Order: sequence, then C-alpha cells, then structure tokens
Amino acid sequence: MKHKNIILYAGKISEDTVKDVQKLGQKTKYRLALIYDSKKKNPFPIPEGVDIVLSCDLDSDEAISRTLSPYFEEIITVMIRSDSVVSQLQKIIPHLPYIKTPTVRSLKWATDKISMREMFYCYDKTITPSFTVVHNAKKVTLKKVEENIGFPVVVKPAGLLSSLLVSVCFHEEELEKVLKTTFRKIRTIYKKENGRGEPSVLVEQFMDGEMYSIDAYVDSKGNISFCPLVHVKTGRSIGFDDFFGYQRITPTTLNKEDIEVAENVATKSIYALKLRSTSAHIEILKTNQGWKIIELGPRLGGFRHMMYMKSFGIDHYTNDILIRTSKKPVIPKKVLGHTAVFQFFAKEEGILTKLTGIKKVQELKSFFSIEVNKKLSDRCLYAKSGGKSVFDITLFNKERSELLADIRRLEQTIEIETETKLKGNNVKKTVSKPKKTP
Amino acid sequence: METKNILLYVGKIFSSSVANIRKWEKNEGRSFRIALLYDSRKQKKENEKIPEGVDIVLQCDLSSDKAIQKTILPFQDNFLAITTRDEKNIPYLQKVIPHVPYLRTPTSMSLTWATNKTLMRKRLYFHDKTITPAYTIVYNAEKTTLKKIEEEVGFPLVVKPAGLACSLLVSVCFHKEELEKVLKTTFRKIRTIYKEENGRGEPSVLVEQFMDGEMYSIDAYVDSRGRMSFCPVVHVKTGKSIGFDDFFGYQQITPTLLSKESIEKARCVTEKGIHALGLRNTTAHVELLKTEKGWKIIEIGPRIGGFRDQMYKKSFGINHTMNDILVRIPEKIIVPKKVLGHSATLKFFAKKEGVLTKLTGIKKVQELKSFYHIKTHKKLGDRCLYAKNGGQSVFNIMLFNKERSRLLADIRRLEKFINIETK
Repeated sequence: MKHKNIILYAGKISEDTVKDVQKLGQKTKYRLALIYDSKKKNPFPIPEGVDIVLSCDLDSDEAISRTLSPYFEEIITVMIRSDSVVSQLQKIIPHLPYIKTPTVRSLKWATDKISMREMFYCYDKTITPSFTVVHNAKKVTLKKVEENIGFPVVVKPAGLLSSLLVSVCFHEEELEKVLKTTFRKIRTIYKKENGRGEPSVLVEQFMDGEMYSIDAYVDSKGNISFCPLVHVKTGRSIGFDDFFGYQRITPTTLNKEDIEVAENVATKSIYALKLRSTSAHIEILKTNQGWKIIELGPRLGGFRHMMYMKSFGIDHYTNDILIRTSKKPVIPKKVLGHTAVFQFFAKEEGILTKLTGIKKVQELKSFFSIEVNKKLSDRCLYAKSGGKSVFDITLFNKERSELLADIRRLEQTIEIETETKLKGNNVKKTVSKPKKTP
Repeated sequence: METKNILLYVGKIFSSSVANIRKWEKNEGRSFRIALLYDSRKQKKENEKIPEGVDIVLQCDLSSDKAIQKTILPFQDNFLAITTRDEKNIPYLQKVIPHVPYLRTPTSMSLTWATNKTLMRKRLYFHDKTITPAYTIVYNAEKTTLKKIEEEVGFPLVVKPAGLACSLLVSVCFHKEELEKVLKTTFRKIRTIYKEENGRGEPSVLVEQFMDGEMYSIDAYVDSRGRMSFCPVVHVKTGKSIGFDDFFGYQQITPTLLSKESIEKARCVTEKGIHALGLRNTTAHVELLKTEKGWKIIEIGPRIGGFRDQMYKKSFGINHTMNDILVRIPEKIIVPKKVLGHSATLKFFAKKEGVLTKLTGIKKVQELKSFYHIKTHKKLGDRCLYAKNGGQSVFNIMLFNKERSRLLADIRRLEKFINIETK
C-alpha cells in the first residue's frame, strides 16, 4: 500500500492555503494537489507550491476516475475552501470511497437553501424561521406567502451564495417587485455564479436580532469541536438595505450561558444536515425567541482563519485538514487579542469616482491587512446585486477598547464617492462621508 | 372642608391629556377641574398654546416662594393632585411641591436625583452597581481629566451633560482625541444651552461606559409605599441604528417581542432603579438597555414617557394620563394587559444639519392605513440640527395597526415616501 500524503483541493486553492499546508508539511511531508473542471472558461491563477495540478471534465465520472487513478491510494483527504466549489467536491467524493468525507447528500442539503430549511424544520422547528418556496411573482404566490409566512419576509434565491439577491420585504407591493426582479435576474446570475440546482426562491420569516457566526469541526463519528463565536454586523445595521457582512469581530461579549445555548443550536443544525468529516460555518441569530439558524456552510467561514489565528492562535486551515484525517483539532481558548474584519461598500450603486483614506487607515495601530477590490471608474454594486466590496480590511489589537477606537477612526477616515447617471444628462453624486465628531 | 377636585399641572399640559381626563370623567361619572400653573418669566411661547378645556390658568414667578404661595392660595384646599409633563418642567414642580404639603408628591430631593444625570448614576451605583455602567464626572477637557476618564471608565464611552434633558449634547467617543474634541465642544456650548433649555443644577459632564445592546423603556406607577405597577415595555431604536451619529429615539414600538422572562428581569431592574432614587407618588419613565451582561439602566425620568399616553392608549387601552393622576391621589390605577394593536412613533431628523430645502411625502404618509397622527416642527427654510446639538425633529409621526406585520409594512412605506433635504 502506498503512503497516503496528498491533500486534494477541489475547484480552487488560495496562496494562504498553500503556505499553510507547506507549514504543516514540514513535519508530515504532505503533497498538495488541485483538481478543477477543465470546462471552466476563465480558470483562476494557480498559486506556486501546488505539487500536482489535475483538470478534467468534472461532469464525466469516467474522466474523474481516469484523472484520479494514479493518485487514488495516496490521497489522504479532499477538501474545498469556498461555497462556490461544493458542487465540484460532490462530484469527486464518490470516486474516493476509502477516505473520510461528508456524504454527497449532506453537501446538497447544506448548499441548497430550501433543502437546508426543510431539514432544519424536520429536525427541530424551533431552530429555524418559517418558510415557503415560490417559483413566480403571481398574485396567488404573494397571497400564499402572506398566509403561510406573514410580513416581514426575506427573499433568498435557493442556490445562490452569500447575500446575492437577498432582500427583505415588508409588504405585498415590495414583495411583488422584489420577486419580479429576482426571477428576471436569477437565470443570468445562476450561470455566472455557478448557482446550484434549479432556480427557485425561498421566502422566509424575517427575524430581528444580533447576528453571530460559529465555525465547527465535525469528525466522522459526529463529535463536534467549536471555535469561538464571531459577532457580525450586517449592512442593514449601518443604514444599507443589504445583508452583506459589514463587520465581523471576535471574541464577542457573550456570556458563557449564551455561548453554550448557541453551540447547542449549532450542534442541532449540523446533525439536522447529517454532516460528518468536515468543517462547518454556521450563521446564527440571537432573537428574543432564542437562537435561530440563518444558514450553514460545509466549509470554513470567510476571513475566519486569519481572525482565529490572530485572536486565539487557532490554525483553522490545519484543523480543517486534521478533522478530515481523523486527527483531533487543536483549539486554544486563551484570548490573544481582538480582531475585526470589515467589508466596505459604496452607499449608492454607480461608478467609483473617489476613494480616500486608504493610506491613512494603514497607519492605524490596529491595522493588519487590506485588500482593495475596486479602482476608480469601476462599477460598484450592492452585494445583493452581485457586487463585491470596494475593499476589505482587517484590524487587530490586544485591547478591545483600542480596537473599537481604531474602528471609529477607520470609519471617520474612509470616503467612497460614486456617480449614478439619472434620466437625461443628470448625474447623482453620493458620498459615503466620514462620521464627524460634533 | 372644601371639595378637592383640582388637578394641578405644573409647567405644561397637552390637549391630549385634557381629552383623556375628560373621557375618564365621562366614563366614571366624576368631575375634576384642570389647572395649569406656569412660570410667568420663561414660558411665553408655551402659554400661547394653552389647550382648550383647562379650567384654571395660573402664572407667577416660580423662583419666588412668595409669588407661588400667593398664586395658589385661593385654590389650596381644592387641589387633589399635582403633576407635570415633560422633563423640562420637573424643576418647576420641585418649586411648587413645598407649597402643597398635604398632597401626595415625590420628595424634592428624589426629583433632583432623578433629573441630574450625575446624581442619578451615584444613587444607582450605590444601590446596586450591576444595574448601571461605570462612570465619572468631569468639569473640563484638560489632559489630566482625559487620563482620569481613561483609567476610571475606559473606551468606548458616552459623554452626557449632567443636567440636560433628552439626548442634548450626548456623544459617544471611541478614543482620546475624539473625547478631547467632544469635551471641549460640550463645555463651550453647555452654558448657552443650559440657559435655553432650563438645564438643571450646575453645568458638569457625566462620562460613562458605552454599553452595546437593544434599548427599551418602561413606564411605571409608584405609590407612596414604593409599590409599583408596570406598563408594557416599549422597544426603542435610536438614531445610531439607522446610521446617525446621534442618540435620539428614532422609533418606539409597543408591544415588544420580548419573552416573559426577559420582561420580568427588566421590571426587576426597573424597580431597583426607582427605589434607588427614592421615587414615590409618581409615574416613572425608565430607559433600559438589554446587554449581553443583563439589563442596565440608561436613565430614569420622574414623569410619563414621551408619546406613551397615546401609544399605551391605542395598544392596550391604558389611560396613562389618568393613571398618572390616580397614583398621586391615591386611587386604584387600571393597567389592562390585552393587546389591542401595535403602535409606533417615529421622529424624523435631517440626515445632514443645515437649512431645510425639501420635505416631501408628508401628504402621502397620511394615506397609510396605519397612520394615526403627525406633528410637523420644521418648514422649508428652517434650520435643522441633530438632537445632540439641540435640534428638534423635522416631524414626529405615530402609526397604529392591529397587526404587527402591517404596521412594519407601513413603517417601511413611510421610510420610502419621506424625503428630507438640507443645504
């Protein structure tokens, strides 16, 4: 029998991941492999350090089998880094039956918003909001939504990622408008964003509360280890009509009892979706009626590796590998400091005409990293319209109060200006101005 | 002995209060006389708007004991209860209380504790430090002061002038430079605003720990023995949660979605707060914060909360105006529990300070099914300021609907219809 030392990534892989596996490999001599769909028109850049690069038609069982067969006995685990490639993982799993993986079915439940809600509801209806599935914006549909769910509601296309096309509706006219727009856009976006399953729209009860997330490692026997909770502020809480994650901060100020209850509810959500041998990213809402599950992803949460590493010394990438290779994840509990990640969007959709403060915020004591996604004259869209943030920034400080102070400075420093063309030759300028101290 | 049938309002009375009293009289087959006593020196604007139905209007220099005594003497034996509306009138009530010793009233000292933010914090802290944030009191913006604040309170923190009502000059500061700037501005403005707004006590500034959480309020009736009857909890969304850097109460909604256990805990903290201030024979308006570390008291006012008489009446059939009087007579108060519907009051401020150049949607929102009442304070050309800078809202609006979901839908429509522009 050959020595099992290949870690296989499906779909894509980032430079950070390569570095992390190399670090792990210094002791254990792992090799890094990547398999991606050869049909993709615009393949992403493959970072240096990937030992084996494989590509084939992932819709063909024969092609997958032929491609993997030389390495079949050496692959120790198969993994992904993003929701967008879960479908590729699902296609590969049946070809690697002797390694520990989540079931294909559980991945389907965990990526289709409708299946997910149905499974939650069957397991324990108290952990999920009421919901219904719609296929058009006709009057009877609107009536059905009002009767079955009641306003306010959240409209979510079933197979799309993040907050794409997610809208909140408070009344029938708004719901009708949103559904019409959603069904018009949905097919295009499905193609562009690799939407999973057949386009359909989930309409669920809108719940008010504080949003948190928790990442967990689930072993092959269903034993779960939790990472610390992260507090999430969405765009809605800073005046946007959009659900993108504006601010993520860890550790939270939650007390022990609350954390325990949150972990119990998160456990239920994992068991409801029958997940095993995987990491899970669970978004959870603390409402007056208790903790409710927003969504679960069979993967690590975005920015979480960096946040957990800085704040707790948790090597999230390594743990993600360990849990799939039947090894115990290492989760230090000691707080090393406080980390916050922000995604800045323009206040109005339009052409980016001004972006100031980027250099200045890099002088903040808590500054850790920044990734600018837009340059002047780029088009800025809301997350719900498929837009990406203007920039993402990470801050870290040993003291929470100093981190909060630098967040305040950051918010006061950044200025994002967009221009929107109105009817005729009129132009509307919108400035996301710094908050001024009185 | 003469008939005791005069209800004495000090400083101000609203037409809705008069209507509520008259309605109660009709239902109960009783009759009162309503009297208003105001300060002849300072309330020229307000006395122009004395509502119809007030039987006796009295005015005198409320800083003079002699003038008060002389003015109320003819009616002294007829007073049944004494009360006031609005935080600004509490100092006047304090002046009148010693002249009506045979009426059930709160003590003057308890009113001082309940209107001076510094004294309030001290009382709350000594009674039970778990119900209040850490705080300190400052008198200048010098370096040593900033250091003291950082050591005793820590960032983030809230700066509150001690004797001003509402969110006047209230600011949140996340770091030292911001604190220095805010304190300097505050101490510069404070004397002027103290005069304009009848600021209570000597100008000083309370600096307290900023707590994050959901804001609620409860109105409670306190009898002479400190026993309490609680009105339903109201959920408050401040300007901060809709993108303003200001603490004004943007939206107030009742009933809330709080669980029974949460409400019980909120009441328990409310009771502690009221007892800490030694309040009796009064209604108290208590602002609370539901934090991850439990319920904390933001502030207590020895009065009915703003908009609460209308909100409680519509949503529960509570006659808040009459209960405020009954608890002072004292007579049994009635607090129905059955929910009749959902009420929301919203205060609209301009997003940017400046001269009001556009205000549209006002007519359209009056066509909303949930529309109940609107009061516009600003017209085109008026200057709009934030609440923290002493500004008043552009308009206040109240909505009511039997269904919560329909109320929320109409709030959404309202927010879309209204367009306020300033230059």
